Amino acid sequence: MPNIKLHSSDGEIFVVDVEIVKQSVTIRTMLEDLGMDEDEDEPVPLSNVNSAILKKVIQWCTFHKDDPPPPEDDENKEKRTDDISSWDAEFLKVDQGTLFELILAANYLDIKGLLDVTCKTVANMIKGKSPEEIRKTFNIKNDFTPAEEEQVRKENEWCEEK
Amino acid sequence: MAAARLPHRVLEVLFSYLDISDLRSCSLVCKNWYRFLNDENNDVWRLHCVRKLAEEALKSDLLSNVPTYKAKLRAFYHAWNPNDCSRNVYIKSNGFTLHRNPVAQTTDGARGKIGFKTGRHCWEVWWEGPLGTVAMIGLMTKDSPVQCQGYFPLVGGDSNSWGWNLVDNHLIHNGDSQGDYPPLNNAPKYQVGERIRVILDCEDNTLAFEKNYEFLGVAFRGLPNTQLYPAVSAVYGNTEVSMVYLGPPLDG
Repeated sequence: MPNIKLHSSDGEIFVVDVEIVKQSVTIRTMLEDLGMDEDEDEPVPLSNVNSAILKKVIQWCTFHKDDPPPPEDDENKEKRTDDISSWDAEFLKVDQGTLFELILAANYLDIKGLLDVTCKTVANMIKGKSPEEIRKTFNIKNDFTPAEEEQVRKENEWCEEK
Repeated sequence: MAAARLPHRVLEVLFSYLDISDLRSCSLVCKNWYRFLNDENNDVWRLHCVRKLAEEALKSDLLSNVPTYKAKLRAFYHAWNPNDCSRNVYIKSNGFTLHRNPVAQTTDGARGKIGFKTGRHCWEVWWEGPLGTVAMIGLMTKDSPVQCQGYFPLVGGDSNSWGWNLVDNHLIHNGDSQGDYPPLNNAPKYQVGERIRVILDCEDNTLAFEKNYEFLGVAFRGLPNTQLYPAVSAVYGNTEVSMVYLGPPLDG
């Protein structure tokens, strides 16, 4: 199977089967735009992804390479977050910094499956929490003034009703 | 930390997995998250709207005065309460219009799902069928009955409700007429289909109405500092009344 070289932001080169990285719409597009032959020796530069994260992304794509394309989302159904596979759950047992870097990499590389599962994981960490609990979980600074916070709270009071 | 600075494209995917109550919490976490959720037409609000509101409500001009998805969702959360209306009334599948069954000798009403105790609020009400002899529009506390025997100005009929009878232009509270409204000679009669805006100011404790974008004056003063609900009552068989919550009134 033809291989392709990926060049991480910190200068590492990864040789990967081209079928595996085609899960990334960004890479797929780059290959088409650059008119690259699948056998091309020229590495694809990924300036936004460092080697540690790229390694994880390649690991995820390798495991998922034979996944069928996901079905079209039924807009009328609530989106589930309780259907993360055990392999993915294990794969995502990483520190928060890595989790968010994976989200940003999945976004940059446009890998829908990886973006969905990482966002589901974060969503599960948000559900049912108060704003202060959410801030604590993710170490986010509250940049509202008390007056601003009160106004937003009032505006959205109706969201608490069933 | 990375979470606060997530790009909006990512927030769109992340928030699409959360329910409305969690979205509210998220909008209070930090300004970046708030800014994303403040775009009332983004896909996250659109999806919640599509899931909760009937297609017919979204396709018709019922919600024409609530332009954004978030506002439409909010209007639905404030709509007629199918669990807080007369047994002779049902809420149609569009979620916003009540239908009064042709039951004789009874006055039937409904309250909105959410009552107000603070702030300023505005909602539209209109009849989509004949008024009959008594068609009341106004406010009720939770304690007022939503149904009674006979044909009676139910909204306004006790100390816990305040109503305007669109048929004879009388204001009613505590069962008594409080005068004509608007206080003009030959005030035009209500036409079926005309949208009336009800303006409740909980800080000033007043209730006023607007018709055809014309402010008609304060109707009731001295409202109590208690939860007040949008309400109507009707007597005509098979008539229908719609109510759409708009939000705070635009000043000016």
